[in-house]
Amino acid sequence: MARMKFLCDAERCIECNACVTACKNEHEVPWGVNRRRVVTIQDGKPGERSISVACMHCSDAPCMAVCPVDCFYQTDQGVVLHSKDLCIGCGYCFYACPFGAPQYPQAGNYGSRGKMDKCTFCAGGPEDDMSSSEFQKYGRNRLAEGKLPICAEMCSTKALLAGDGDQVSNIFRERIVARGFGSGAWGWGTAYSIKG
Amino acid sequence: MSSNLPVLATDRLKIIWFLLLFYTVIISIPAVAFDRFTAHGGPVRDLALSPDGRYFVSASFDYSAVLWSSDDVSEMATLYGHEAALNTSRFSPKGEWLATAGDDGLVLVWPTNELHSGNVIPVVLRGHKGKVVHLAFSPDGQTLASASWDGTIGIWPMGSGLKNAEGRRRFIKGNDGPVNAVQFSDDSKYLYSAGYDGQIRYWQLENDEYLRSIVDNGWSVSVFAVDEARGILAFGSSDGVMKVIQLSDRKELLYIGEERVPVLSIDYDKKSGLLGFGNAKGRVLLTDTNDWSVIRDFHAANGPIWSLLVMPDRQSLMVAGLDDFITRWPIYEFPPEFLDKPGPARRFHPKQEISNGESQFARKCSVCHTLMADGKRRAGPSLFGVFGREAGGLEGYSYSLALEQSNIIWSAATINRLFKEGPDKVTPGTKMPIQRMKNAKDREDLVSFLQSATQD
Repeated sequence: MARMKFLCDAERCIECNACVTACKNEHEVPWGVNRRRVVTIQDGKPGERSISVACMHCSDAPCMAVCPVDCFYQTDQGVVLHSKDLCIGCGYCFYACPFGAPQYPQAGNYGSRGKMDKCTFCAGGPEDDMSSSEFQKYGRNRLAEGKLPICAEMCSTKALLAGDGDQVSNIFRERIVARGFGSGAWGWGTAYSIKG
Repeated sequence: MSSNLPVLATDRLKIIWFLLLFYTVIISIPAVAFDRFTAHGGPVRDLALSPDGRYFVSASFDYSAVLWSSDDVSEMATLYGHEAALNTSRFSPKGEWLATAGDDGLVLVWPTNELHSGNVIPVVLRGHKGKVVHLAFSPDGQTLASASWDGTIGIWPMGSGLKNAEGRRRFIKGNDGPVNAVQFSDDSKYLYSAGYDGQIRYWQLENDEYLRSIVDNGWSVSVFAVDEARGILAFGSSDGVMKVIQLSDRKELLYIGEERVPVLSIDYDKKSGLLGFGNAKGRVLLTDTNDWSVIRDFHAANGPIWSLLVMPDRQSLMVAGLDDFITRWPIYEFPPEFLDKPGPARRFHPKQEISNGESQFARKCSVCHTLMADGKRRAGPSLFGVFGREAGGLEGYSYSLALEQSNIIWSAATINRLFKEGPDKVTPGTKMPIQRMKNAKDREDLVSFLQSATQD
């Protein structure tokens, strides 16, 4: 079974925001919510880097550890998903996530206090695969359709890679050999170093 | 016989010396070591000290705030008024007001001279469209600021007639995403704010004009503290950075960021210069900003540190997190045997093998409900004896009007329906968060467990 992972090669990201737009469009994400965003660090200074970031579907996910109502689960492909039926919108995961992935729509769609929303690795949620209720709550289930996340597919510089962790890390390793230095796989260690 | 007497006396002396030594060692371990204080029935999100240091307040997930005596950490009063979890509280500079805020988007302002009366009624400030996560009073006591996840900063004039504060409120927009923290300048004319957009912004309050960004961190800034007199700004961010910069030239005075674990709490004691950070994995780091030495760096909890508070004696530190209790740690005398001991298992994080029904309760319900008859404080009412009880019928619990006026009698069928359709459908208007359990077997197992666990 593949272990799905994201990798953002900060040496390649050009801050075009195509991944952000593609995600919003594919999943019809509510206004005010960006499941993916591009963060620029050291903006305008030496060492400036842009990083496309969303839920990294961590091996030892800190959101799962702080949730008081057990709304998270991890699929057998390692994708961290959550149930909007169980989420009470406490916001604890927002604080615990090192990637700023959890989002909170102000009101409306998921109840007055706002259920948490985040990247699903285009893998839907606990509803039936490719059902209308799954799309309405979690967005499109591209994995069930045999496709990879739209953000990575849309990335013009292939800075953002998504897929089986072994394959993704092999591609990145080849890049490091080619360009002669090893920086760039931003967040990989934080998300996946603890186990597998 | 007489020759034995000196020997016996020596032995007795040895025993006395031993006992003296033993008690000296025991007594020398500070009584404050790792003390736990429980008043809440849910995670504690914030701690705030009164200006005179005599009291502090804890704000909890259990919909309540508790006023504590700083001296003996005894519970002085419990404040109910919010309709959701509390996130923060702050005293006004002269201590005449206590403001609390929570997930209900409300800011409640309580007159502190009535807190002990048992029936204090707060002034309710409405207007935010999202949860309110942080509050700050201006040093002149004329204004209260609120940071909200609706992306705005609420400005509530307090000066002439608090009851008009809601009518004279205004909201500063311009942050890109949730606002996590606010603090006034010393002259009360400017405001600092920090948020999800990674900025610490500086605002002029005369016309609510955004003047400049003081920090552009990229990653969300969760907490910060400014000391204008010393010209320093400390902040903690979601990328695990604990940093102090000089306000004049942004020069870095302290940087700790070797692990990428979100920093969630900060406490800066201006008088002593002690600065504490707490992170999402229980790490507490305490520095002395006078010489930038690290005084303590330890793990105080198995989970997030939501709040830290240096106590007025500057000898102890209060720590709050995902547990119902708060812990008091000595700052300087630190018995090493306490360092590696995590807290007890949380009821909503069961580790032992239990039935599916019990697991459903523990993981999905127990953070808000107890099964015990004693009605231990929780966000929701005790479920003891719930079967056959009228909805909204447990004496002593502050129900929403919607539930009080409901004519539902709780039974296996109605509880099953509650979680099948959701509280928003079965009991519309209830304070209960909207939760549904789509799996029929999980629902049946939960109801079956409750039937056996909620009786004598």
